[in-house]
Amino acid sequence: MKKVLVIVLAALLTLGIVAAQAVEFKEAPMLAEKVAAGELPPVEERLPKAEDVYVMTELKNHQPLEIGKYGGVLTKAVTKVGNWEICRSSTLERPVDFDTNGTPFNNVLKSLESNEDMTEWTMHLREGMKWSDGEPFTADDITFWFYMLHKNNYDGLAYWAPLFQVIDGKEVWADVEKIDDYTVKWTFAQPQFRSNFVDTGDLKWFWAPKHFWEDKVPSSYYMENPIWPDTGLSDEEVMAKFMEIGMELDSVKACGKSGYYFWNHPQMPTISAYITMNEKSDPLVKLVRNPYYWKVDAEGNQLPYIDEIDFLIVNNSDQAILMLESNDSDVDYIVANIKDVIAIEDAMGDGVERHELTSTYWGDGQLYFNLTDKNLEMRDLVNNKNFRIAMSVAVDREQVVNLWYDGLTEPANAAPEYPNFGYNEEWSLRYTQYDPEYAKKLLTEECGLVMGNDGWFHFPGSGDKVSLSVVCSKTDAATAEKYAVLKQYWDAIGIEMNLNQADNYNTICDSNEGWDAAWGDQEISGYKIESRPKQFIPLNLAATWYSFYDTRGSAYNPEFFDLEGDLLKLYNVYQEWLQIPELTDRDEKELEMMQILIDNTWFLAFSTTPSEYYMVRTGLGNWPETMLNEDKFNFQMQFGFNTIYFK
Amino acid sequence: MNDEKTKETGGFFEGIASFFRRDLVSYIIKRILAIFPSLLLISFVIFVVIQLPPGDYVSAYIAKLTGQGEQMPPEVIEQLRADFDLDKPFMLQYWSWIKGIIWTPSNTTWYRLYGSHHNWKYSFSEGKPVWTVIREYLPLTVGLTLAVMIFQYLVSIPLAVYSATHQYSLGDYLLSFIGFIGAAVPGFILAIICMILAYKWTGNPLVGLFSKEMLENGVHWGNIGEFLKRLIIPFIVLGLGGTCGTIRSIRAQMLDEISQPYTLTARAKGVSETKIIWKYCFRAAINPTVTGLGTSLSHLFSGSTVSAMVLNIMIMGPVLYDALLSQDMYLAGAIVMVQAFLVEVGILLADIGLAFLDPRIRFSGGSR
Amino acid sequence: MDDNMILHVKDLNISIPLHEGLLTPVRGVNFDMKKGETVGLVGESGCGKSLTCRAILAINEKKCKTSGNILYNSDEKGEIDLLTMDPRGKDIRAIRGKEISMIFQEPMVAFSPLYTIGNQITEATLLHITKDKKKAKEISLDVMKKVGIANAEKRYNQYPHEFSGGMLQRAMISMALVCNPKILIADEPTTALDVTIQAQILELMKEMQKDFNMGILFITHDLGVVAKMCDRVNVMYLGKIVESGTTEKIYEDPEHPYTRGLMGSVHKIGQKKTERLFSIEGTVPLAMNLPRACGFYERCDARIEGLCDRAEPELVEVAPEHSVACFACPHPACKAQRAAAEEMIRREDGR
Repeated sequence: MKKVLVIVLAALLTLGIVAAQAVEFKEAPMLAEKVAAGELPPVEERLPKAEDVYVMTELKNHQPLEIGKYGGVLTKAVTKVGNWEICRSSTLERPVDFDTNGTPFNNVLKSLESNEDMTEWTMHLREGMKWSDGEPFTADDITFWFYMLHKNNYDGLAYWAPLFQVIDGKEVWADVEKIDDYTVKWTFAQPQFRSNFVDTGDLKWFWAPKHFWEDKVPSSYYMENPIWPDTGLSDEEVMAKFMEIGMELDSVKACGKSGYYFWNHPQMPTISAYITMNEKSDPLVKLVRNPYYWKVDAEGNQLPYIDEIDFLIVNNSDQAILMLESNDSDVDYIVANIKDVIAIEDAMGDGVERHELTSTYWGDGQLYFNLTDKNLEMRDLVNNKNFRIAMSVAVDREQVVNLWYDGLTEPANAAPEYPNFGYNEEWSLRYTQYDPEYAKKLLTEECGLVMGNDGWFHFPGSGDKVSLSVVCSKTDAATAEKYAVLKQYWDAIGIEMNLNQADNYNTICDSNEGWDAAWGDQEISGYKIESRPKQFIPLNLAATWYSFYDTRGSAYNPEFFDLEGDLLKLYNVYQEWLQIPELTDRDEKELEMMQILIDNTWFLAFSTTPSEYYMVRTGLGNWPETMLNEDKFNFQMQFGFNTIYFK
Repeated sequence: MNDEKTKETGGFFEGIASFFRRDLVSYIIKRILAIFPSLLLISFVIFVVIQLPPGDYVSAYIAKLTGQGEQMPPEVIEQLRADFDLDKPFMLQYWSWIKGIIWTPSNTTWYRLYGSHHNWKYSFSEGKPVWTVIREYLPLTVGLTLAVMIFQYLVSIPLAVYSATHQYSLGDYLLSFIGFIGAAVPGFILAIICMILAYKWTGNPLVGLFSKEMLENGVHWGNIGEFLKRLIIPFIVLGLGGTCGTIRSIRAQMLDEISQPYTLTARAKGVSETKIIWKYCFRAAINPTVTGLGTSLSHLFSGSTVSAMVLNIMIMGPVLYDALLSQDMYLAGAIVMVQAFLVEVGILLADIGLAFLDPRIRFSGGSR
Repeated sequence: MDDNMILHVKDLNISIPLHEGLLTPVRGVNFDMKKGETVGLVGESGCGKSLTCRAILAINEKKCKTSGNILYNSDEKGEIDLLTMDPRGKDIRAIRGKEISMIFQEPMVAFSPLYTIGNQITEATLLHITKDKKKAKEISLDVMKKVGIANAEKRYNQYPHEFSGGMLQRAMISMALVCNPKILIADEPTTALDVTIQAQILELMKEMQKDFNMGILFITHDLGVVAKMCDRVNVMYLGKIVESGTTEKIYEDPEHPYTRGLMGSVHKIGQKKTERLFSIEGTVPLAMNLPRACGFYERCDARIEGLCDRAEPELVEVAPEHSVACFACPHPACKAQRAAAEEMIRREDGR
């Protein structure tokens, strides 16, 4: 079924491309002026070759792309924390992008194919595609990035797991070579499935502007490679070069890291729709149209439509709302607070529209137990499915929903939510009946706990009170209040669950010390497993074993903890799932894994997740009707700066 | 009247020439030299206190990223720590920091890149040298706070003197009432109320000191009106507490001084009421205010924090707040060090000012 | 006004409205001063002396309500009533420090500690005599030397806290005299000083009086000082003058029981050491809601019941330059007053 969709999609795209060849290209008036003044080459020369131009005919949810009007400045107020969104997701162009079903389609890459056994992948770039400063985007940019920035870890952060394979416990990197200016070939030691390669959400880019970086890689970071020689530059020379262009960084390491998100810096060229004009720490961050952007709409208009995006930094979200209401900004993003949404609608009436980003979480307020707890009695207890069921049915979810969200959400357990893949009403409501007596019965009969005189359950062996330390990374009072609603139910049945709001919860979890459960973290999220398998396969929560998807591969070390029972079964299905080459063929196994998870209730949840909303002033076109709040779709930025326009 | 004014200033500044005595100059030098050892001690205390909360910059940074959905394996976290030198023992970090500040020799990268012998290191969160960050926010901070302070004294002194000389009048009661409220209401609540009122009355909540247009094009004659409008709320919020406090303080002191016998003597000589108030009473009454000015020098540098955050004005206060929250050690440390230095200098200046104001302090070295 | 007269206080009344009622510290004071003479104003603390003399210069607090006349014989304008002038106005300020000066009881606090003595003395000069700073300084230094301040140039630039009590009083005197006033009001100038300095200051004042030819209104409660300094004396009790006359007459022949009591309470040479000093019984009552009676009634040893508690005696002249306000006094003028008062009471009782 999915295969058919892909074919249809590919056909449409091809049609689009063919159509494009017959059409003349148009550009925004502000660029036309520059062309007339001789500052820019004409639009045909700025875009890739006609057959290679990307023609956009629909949005990611298959909503048709309306032909828009050029012009306008979009303003958005962001709190300082939101700086991240400006710099990362707003202008990211992936090699292969995804529609809202998760089906991939080519984006930066024109096409790719593999050989028979999938050990070699050949990628074709778009001929004539250019960086924002007019330099060509070629295969050199990819090979340079790989050998001079990434593999040698000059760009500082973690390695991209899709680019290496773990063989016999060792990391074996792929090799990349340039076939011609617009073709590269990746060679893997073992077959690499497309679904583990470009179709993962985590291979976000693999290029960098070589013409910018070629004099900025120091010798100290040089790693032998078949293509690029050592630059011979010292650390200091590199730092001095950065200072020349106006970036004062504290070490050569920071210099390399600055290239990780290369579109953040005004000095670095980009292939995104917008060019950042100033430092993200300034109070006003401007993104201006990239004249070399390589996408057009069905009528040949070069995208994007809007001339400029302005981000105004404010101190807190209330000020952002005020600015929206007083028309100082055009959009605002409300996180999990439907009251604000309603208030804005009251204040602005017809002037504002609401757009929902549905959540991909498996329920809100997820609770997860430490299955590798060092206290053996506790470990046995939490590994006992009946304990988890008991903890689930002890809670009155109707009241929880009322207290947490004024009844605006629904009671639910940890399960895929509507409209995500795998949604199933029975799953959502399993173990959600409110029955404290039954809970107590389970604890006494099935878990062997003993009710003490103090009203608390005790372990039969040591006689210790059953008291769990529930770690949580959020340290604000609102979280504590939210948790207190749950705690009362567990107090009522005699199990003590104390919340520990810790700054260093990472350290706590990793060291496997001092926590028996985690709340509000380690949650299952993601529209499908492949987004964040870490939680789907709940194996990573102790330092002794590590099953972390996107940087270390997915291995666990059986020396430290033996998987058994359903966990082992889950793990095995997961390994099978990994072996399926096509993403679209994996659904069956995925549902199988979900069933195991639901049956075992390793995760508890109490409410459906409230959606997040975009409040948008009326008059903006091409706003997608459905949006899934997910990394693979760029979270909040999925509405697409490069396609919206002012009507 | 004019003649009396010149006489008044002549009287006011009397004694300056005789003020430059050798022991005063040596006193000042001694005080300045004493600043540096105390700054050293302060630097150590700052360093300890900033690091007191559990975790460090990296753990705060990681927590933030995790909250946004990023994943960080422990090796990366450890690597980040090593990059920032946060895995070294505490004393070593302190020593490396303070050594760099006191003197960075010419054969280091820092000197070659920046040409400075004092290495204040980098801000973790901004990735820029600490002084670049501070320099960004300094002009607005100093400018705004200085303007507010000047406004504060310009307004409070006449009002306080009026209040004291017209005790029990309607004006006095009104001013006292406003003074109490103004001193009691926290600045940020006032800010919120003002913004709500501004929004209700004008439809524009005047968030921030600069509109978007001003951020792009700067403040020029075209938008000076808008700029002045946006200055109203910050002035009220930032200045009201101080103004009311000053009014009350000066008023109390003035009431004290007005009932002193020397006013009777002056009156009996035929001196006019105005001159008595300003030449005699006022000069004695501003003694505590001048003392208060000592700490205001450092306040000039940081500005108020909470009110600035509510008003969305980026001055040094919120910068320090963010730095402390995220344990951005060198930035927070540098700002607090500068503040400590300014407090010391401010107190020294206030002491000199007091000695200049009150001859009894000059010679006895103490209060009356 | 008689050309010889320089000051005439007529029916001065000062009342202060308080929360509890109306305080009347000065209830009809009458006295005068001739040119160049020293008039004493004697009485216990709280009898209204300071208020009276401060009223002359109108430097009482705002809440004091005054009525009556204070006539001053000025050179330029003739007889002027100081009480009609606005206490904050230019007219009275032209008088203060220039025509009429005042020195105060405690020199330590009477100067502002913030300015040099020179500055404060010259302030008066600059106000009234000349605008030229240099000349004013010369004048001030001149007076300072006259007043007996050694090292006047050095002292000119010093601050009050560098002076001793006696020296400060000299400075205050020089400040009062620098404009050559016609009248010097001295409000207990030596009370705060020790006895040896006291003598010096009094000597100085007498000298200055001769040099400057000015009248002195001397307020004190020290009878010894009165004897030395004053030509004429007014004895004040509870806001009224009860006896007035030349110093010899008062000392030789005190008529009023209060005056007699005061005289009796002064230590005399020859008095035995072990003998207790005489003191008048009781204390000065509060000057509020006073009934129509002699103020001294409660403490008087010569009181006449039924008379002295029903009527108030006024000052009548019993001899040239000697007046008394008392019903018990045997002089014919007093007797006449007494008879009139008794008649009035009888008529009241009869009704």
